[in-house]
Amino acid sequence: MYKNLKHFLNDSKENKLSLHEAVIKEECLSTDKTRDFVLKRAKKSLDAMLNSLEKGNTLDINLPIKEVIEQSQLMMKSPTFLSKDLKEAVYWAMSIVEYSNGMGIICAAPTAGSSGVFPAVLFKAQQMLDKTEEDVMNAFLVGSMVGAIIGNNATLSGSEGGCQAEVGVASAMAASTITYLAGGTPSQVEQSVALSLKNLLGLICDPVAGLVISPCIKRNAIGVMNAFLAAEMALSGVTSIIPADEVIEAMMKVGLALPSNLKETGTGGIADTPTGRRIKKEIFGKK
Amino acid sequence: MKYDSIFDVVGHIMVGPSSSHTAGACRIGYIANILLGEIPVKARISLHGSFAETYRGHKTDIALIGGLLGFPPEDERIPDSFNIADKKGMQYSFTEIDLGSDYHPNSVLLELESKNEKLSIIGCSIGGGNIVIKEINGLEAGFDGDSPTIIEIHKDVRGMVANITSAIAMHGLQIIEMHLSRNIRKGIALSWIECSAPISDELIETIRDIPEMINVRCLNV
Repeated sequence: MYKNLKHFLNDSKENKLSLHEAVIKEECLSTDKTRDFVLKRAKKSLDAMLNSLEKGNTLDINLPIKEVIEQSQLMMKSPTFLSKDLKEAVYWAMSIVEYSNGMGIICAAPTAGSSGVFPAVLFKAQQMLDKTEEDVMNAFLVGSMVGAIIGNNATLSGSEGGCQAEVGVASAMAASTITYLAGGTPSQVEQSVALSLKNLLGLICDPVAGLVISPCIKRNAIGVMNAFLAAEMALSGVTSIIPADEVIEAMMKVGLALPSNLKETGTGGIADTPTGRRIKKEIFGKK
Repeated sequence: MKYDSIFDVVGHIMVGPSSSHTAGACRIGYIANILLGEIPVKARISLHGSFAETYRGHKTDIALIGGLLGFPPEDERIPDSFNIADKKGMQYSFTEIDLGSDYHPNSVLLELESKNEKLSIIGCSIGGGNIVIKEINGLEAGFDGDSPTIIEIHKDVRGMVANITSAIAMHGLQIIEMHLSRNIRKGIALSWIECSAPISDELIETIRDIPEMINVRCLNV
């Protein structure tokens, strides 16, 4: 497994491999699996993501959970400020996490609470750029490696690092994925990670009543917009003054410095507001 | 390195909304179903710690029943588990329990009955959908259910491990990890052995025939 992004980019350059081919090579080496296995396994995850997107968008899903208000559907109205495509991507991301809340089957990327960002951005970008399934697969592999590298050098858990480790990482994975999908250079892919992750540094994890509903569903929306923004900036040639690997290290330090009430315990941030506390009491009694 | 594979990050296909409180709970039930070998007739489910506090909001209860019905965490039937359990005649009850501070906050005690057998399991959901089966019938276990595993309960006498491991070698399997815990007072021990490949029925029969063996269970994942 690559130590960091620099190692990933250098290895692909030295071996004259595209980024996605480098991911396949590295995955085979570190897991003792064949290329065929890796591609099939990736297809299984992509299929699960697409399935959650389609099912999440179905209006009459028959799920036992009634308390999840389907706010995502409001995003289907014609846009005022965003493009139709971007608004729809936000809708997709929110509806996937709503679907997850209704006990739908999702593919964590990197977690269940942040599972809307990566598929919404990837499949919307595919539609906007008219890319093939193979292009999507290659981009998926690159974004997945970015996620694994961040996980190994920082954390992917809200309880360890706050929401920056969940929606923040999902957004960086998505940004690098669509930068690659759009034909960005390896250096632009790296820039998109730095630019997207920096924007969400310090994002706390403060779920009301400890549930993956508020603010999680709507935070997937900022993950989407931030990914498109960072990819657009990177593709335009905008660069981060701080290299991506150093941003990742900074993310871990920020995560460790966050107090535990801002890391998934549901006792700080918006969870610890009069309304947040009232909702918790309504759901779980007087605990 | 925490993650050796990209699929540790983008490979967990699971029921929402929470990887630890829903998908992990389902997986504990699912492994309990495999260990029992069938859907239990009766299930007494005791929730500890954070499971006890938040199970309604995270649907931990529905997920556990789904697992006990034999549904893995990516099975679309999970939301309907209560209805399916009723149709299959499975009786279940939920209570809260304090297992003490030695147990992970997301722990559950499952006391299961089939027609012929009783099985009690304590499972912990340790994050990201990963779990540990901590105890079986009051004996310390500690396997994660990610590899094919043989679990034996046997009398605490000399040579048991040698007999078991030689049977495994004779059947051409490699041992990945193994563990033995003894209950000296009761004179019994539990061992579990993770293997490199799926475990055959013949191997299980060979191990079952070892003298002083009490019970053998097999988890092929």
